[in-house]
Amino acid sequence: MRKSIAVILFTLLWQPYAAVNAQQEISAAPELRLGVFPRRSADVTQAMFQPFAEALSRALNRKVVIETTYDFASFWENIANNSYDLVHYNQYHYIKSHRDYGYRVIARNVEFGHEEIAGSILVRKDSNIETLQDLKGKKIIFGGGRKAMMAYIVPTYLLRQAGLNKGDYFEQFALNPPKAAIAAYYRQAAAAGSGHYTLDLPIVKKEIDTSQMKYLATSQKMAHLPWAVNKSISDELALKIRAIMVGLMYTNKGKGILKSMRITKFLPAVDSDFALHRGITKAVLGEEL
Amino acid sequence: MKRSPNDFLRWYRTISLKQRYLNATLLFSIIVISVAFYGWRYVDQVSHQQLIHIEERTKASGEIHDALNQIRIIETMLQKFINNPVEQHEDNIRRSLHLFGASIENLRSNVWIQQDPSLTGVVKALGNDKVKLTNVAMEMIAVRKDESRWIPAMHVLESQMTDYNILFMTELNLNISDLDDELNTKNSIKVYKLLIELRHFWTLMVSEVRLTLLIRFGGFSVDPATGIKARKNNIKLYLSRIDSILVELEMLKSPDMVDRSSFVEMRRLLSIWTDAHNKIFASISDRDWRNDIVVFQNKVEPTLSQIMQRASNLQLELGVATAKNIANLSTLALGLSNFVIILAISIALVSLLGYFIFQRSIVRPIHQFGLALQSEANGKYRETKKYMVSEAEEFRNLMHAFDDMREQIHSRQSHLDHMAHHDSLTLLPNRVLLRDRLQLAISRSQRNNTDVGLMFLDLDQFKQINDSLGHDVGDKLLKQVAIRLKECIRDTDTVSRLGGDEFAILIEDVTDVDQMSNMARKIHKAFSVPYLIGNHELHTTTSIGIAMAPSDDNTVDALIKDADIAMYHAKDLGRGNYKFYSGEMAAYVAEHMVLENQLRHALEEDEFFLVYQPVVDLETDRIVSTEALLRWKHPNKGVLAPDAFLSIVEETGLIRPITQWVLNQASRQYNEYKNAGFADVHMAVNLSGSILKNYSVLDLVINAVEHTKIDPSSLIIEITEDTLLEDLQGAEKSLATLKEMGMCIALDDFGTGQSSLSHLRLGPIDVVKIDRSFIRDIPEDKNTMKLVDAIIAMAHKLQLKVVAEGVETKEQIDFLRWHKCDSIQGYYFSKPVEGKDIIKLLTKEKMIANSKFIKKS
Repeated sequence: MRKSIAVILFTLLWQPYAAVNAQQEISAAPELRLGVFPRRSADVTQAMFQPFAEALSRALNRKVVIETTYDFASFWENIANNSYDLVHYNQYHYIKSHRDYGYRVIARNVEFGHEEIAGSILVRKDSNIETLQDLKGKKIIFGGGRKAMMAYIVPTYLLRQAGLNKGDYFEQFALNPPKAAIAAYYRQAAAAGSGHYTLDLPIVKKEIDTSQMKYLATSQKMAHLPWAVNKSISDELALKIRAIMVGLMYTNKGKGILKSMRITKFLPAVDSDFALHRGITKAVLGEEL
Repeated sequence: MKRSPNDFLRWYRTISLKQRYLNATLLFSIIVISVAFYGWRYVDQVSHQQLIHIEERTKASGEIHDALNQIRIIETMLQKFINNPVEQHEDNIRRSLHLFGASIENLRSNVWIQQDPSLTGVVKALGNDKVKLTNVAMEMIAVRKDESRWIPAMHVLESQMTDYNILFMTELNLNISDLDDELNTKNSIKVYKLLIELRHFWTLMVSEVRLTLLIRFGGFSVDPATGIKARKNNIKLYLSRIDSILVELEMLKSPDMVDRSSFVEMRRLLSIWTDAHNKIFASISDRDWRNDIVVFQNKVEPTLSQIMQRASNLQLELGVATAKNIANLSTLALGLSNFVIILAISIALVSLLGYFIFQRSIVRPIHQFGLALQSEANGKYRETKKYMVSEAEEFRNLMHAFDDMREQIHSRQSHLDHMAHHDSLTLLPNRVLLRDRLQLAISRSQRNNTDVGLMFLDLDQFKQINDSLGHDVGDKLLKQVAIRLKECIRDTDTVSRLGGDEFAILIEDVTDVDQMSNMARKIHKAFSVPYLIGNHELHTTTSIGIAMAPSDDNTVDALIKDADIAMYHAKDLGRGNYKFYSGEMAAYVAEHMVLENQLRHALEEDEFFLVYQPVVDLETDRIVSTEALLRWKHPNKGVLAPDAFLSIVEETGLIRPITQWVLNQASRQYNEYKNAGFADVHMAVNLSGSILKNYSVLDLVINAVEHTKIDPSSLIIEITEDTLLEDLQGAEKSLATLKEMGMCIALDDFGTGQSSLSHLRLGPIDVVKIDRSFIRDIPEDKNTMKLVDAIIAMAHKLQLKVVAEGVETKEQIDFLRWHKCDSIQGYYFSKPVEGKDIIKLLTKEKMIANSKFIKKS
């Protein structure tokens, strides 16, 4: 069944792949602004997504420009200003931008082979912390900020479910989830809020002895990071972009592009994929998104 | 050419230990130095890196701390400025913003920050934050300084309400003042009252507005929203009343002095005022009623929070990095500990390996070498080789040297064995081998019930040949004797040289004694043929003693001794004889040994004594000398003459102390002569040939002279002819020295030996004493008498004095006197007597002489 779907999808998407690989003149159509949230530094983000932007540019026959920002405030400002035609951000960003500014999800990431992701709480094995309740009065480091879906909102949801409310523990924030895990390893906090496969990330494995860490709690798995288009983008273009993205995994060049973005592949996504995120966000931040 | 590992091992085993040690030491040193260098370099690099990190982080931490301080100052100063917008606060804000910017710049250039792109991004964002903070802070200051922007309500109040309030009040007060003097009508009074009421409510309403603002600014503890709401309701009531009063005034017929249009104007002013009032209320009721706080809350505070958040991120990263540093240093320390342990274990293992190699390459070969030496020492030569297993150069050299040494030792041992068992001159078996073979032969004879014969041979007069013709001739003679002896025996028999001129022949399986006799005769016959050695034709015989086992004895030593005894008895029989051993011979020997033992005690027990026999001058008939003669007062046998014990004395070496005793004793006796007035009577002492040969006679004489103070010229030393024969040269030298000391030398017993005239001619002889055997036959034997006459004549020709010994008759004296013999000695005149008797004789002789002299005179 899966094989049949793949064949059909392959046939449908053949044209866009060809477009990705074709060398053709870039038309004078308005440029497509690609926004990527500052999960990594701007320079790194630029380098990682440049091949994708070029491939997209060739496929759409229009210039594609990557817009990077140094912080989430600037990034969100650009969201609010509709500065991006195509945007890659986290799940909270999506549901908020969808409500406030009409962005529509078209695809989602598969990273490191994981089609879905869960939020988790990490602790050192030798910390004597066995349950989430043991974190009462302790400091917890969350990756990113309060808008980080898997590194703050979902782990906080886990804490709430365990009966720990705001004020029952100290909050501190690391620059990103891997750094939160590393900080916990180095005993800068009792636990770290992060994704469910953070310990498998090469950058984390390189820095710490991950065998000394364990997942104290892990949430239900949810859709991975989304890609959305601005409300100004037509459905036709949106579908075209999605086809291009999903089709990358079928060519070597496309695989190279995915590898550059450290993404395994793209899956088509719809708004309902993020219903669970909405519920958790409401429970944690009180926002009806 | 490829080398297999086995080739390498084979080659390695052959290289020298020195080379192995050098190689191993070099290899070990290189490894240890390399490991130590690598470790040192690693630790140095890591610690240096960590130190740089720590230094850079310390700087970064300081910068973050400074930046946060400035942020707090900015926050505080902004709050102060909100309360009190003075220039000082503004300056502080600007300065802090500048310092904050400087801190950000310093962070930007920090190495630790630059190494992490994510941190670089944070610092870059902080830079943007700083710009943003500057903008919003300046905006807030500008708002606060601009009252119209600061609190919009105040602007409305000032620009609209105040003026209209004044206009309204002016209009109202004018109307009231106009009516002050016209209150004469009911209507005017009513208008006046309404106006007064209007002014009252207006004043109250304005007061409410003022009160509202005061509440807004926090003039009362009441909640501003509640207070404002209450005031708003009051104002609403006041406005309603004012409006109704104004409507009522318009409706009334106004007094002439009051213009109705004035009320219309007041209503217009009221309407404008009310609008402004609504605006103010809308403004102050809003959350953003004060713009400076709006800017602070909406722009400054988020920016500050953002900055604080980023600073917090950086501080967290600092903490992580510090923990990482500590972990790295701990890992390094652990690594170093492990390294030290591994190094220690490695050194221990290398030491063990070294010990193993040392054990294998040095100790084991040395041990095996020791075993080889032990095998060699134990004579297990075949086992020696198997211990030689080391292939190291040193051990190979050592083993080669050992092999050479072993071969040399074996060769020398064989040679020594041969030498130890054979005579080097004749190559005949020596005494040792003879004893071995004799032992074996005796054992065999006991088993086979046969006899063993042993011959002991001693060459007759070999000494004379050796002394007169030299040792070379003597040695050559011995070699030829050996050959002849070997020719006389069977192959199964053994001829052995025992030493000197002594030989032995071992004959096995002897059937009867005739076999031995025949053998002895065969040997004598072989000896009868002269030996031609160089130009010499030598005639020699041998005396043979024969002993038989088991009839005589059945031990080696006893049998040799028996044969030796028999040989001496054969020799006693004369040259060229042989004699079988008998038990009597043993008895003789035993007696000989007893005598020897007694002689050893005789000197100590003072059993020796001297007797003196005078020598009388035939011309003067007076005693000219006395000859000291030794006697031994034997405890059992009575007095013994020297003939009975002289040979034993010479054999045992007692001859020296006895001779010294004789010399001393004779010298003392002479001193007694001298003391008695007979100093011209000389003292003659006999010296044995063995004394002259083996001992320094001079020492003996000098000792006697020194002890007794005798005048050496008073001594006469008597020697026998044999003495000169045995060691003529040595004896001549000693005698010449004695003669130089003034002593006379007398040749005793002349005529019994070779009677060589050369002895008289060449020797240091002063006196010749004719042996008693010649004198004894006078006057019966005419030939002897002629011979004595010839001797006297010959001696006189040689200027020698002549003394005749053993003179016992008057005829003998007459003959001797007739033939001019100088002196006589014998029983005719006096037998040997004690010294005191000599003095008596001398005294008597002197008295006789004196009487003769008296008679003559």
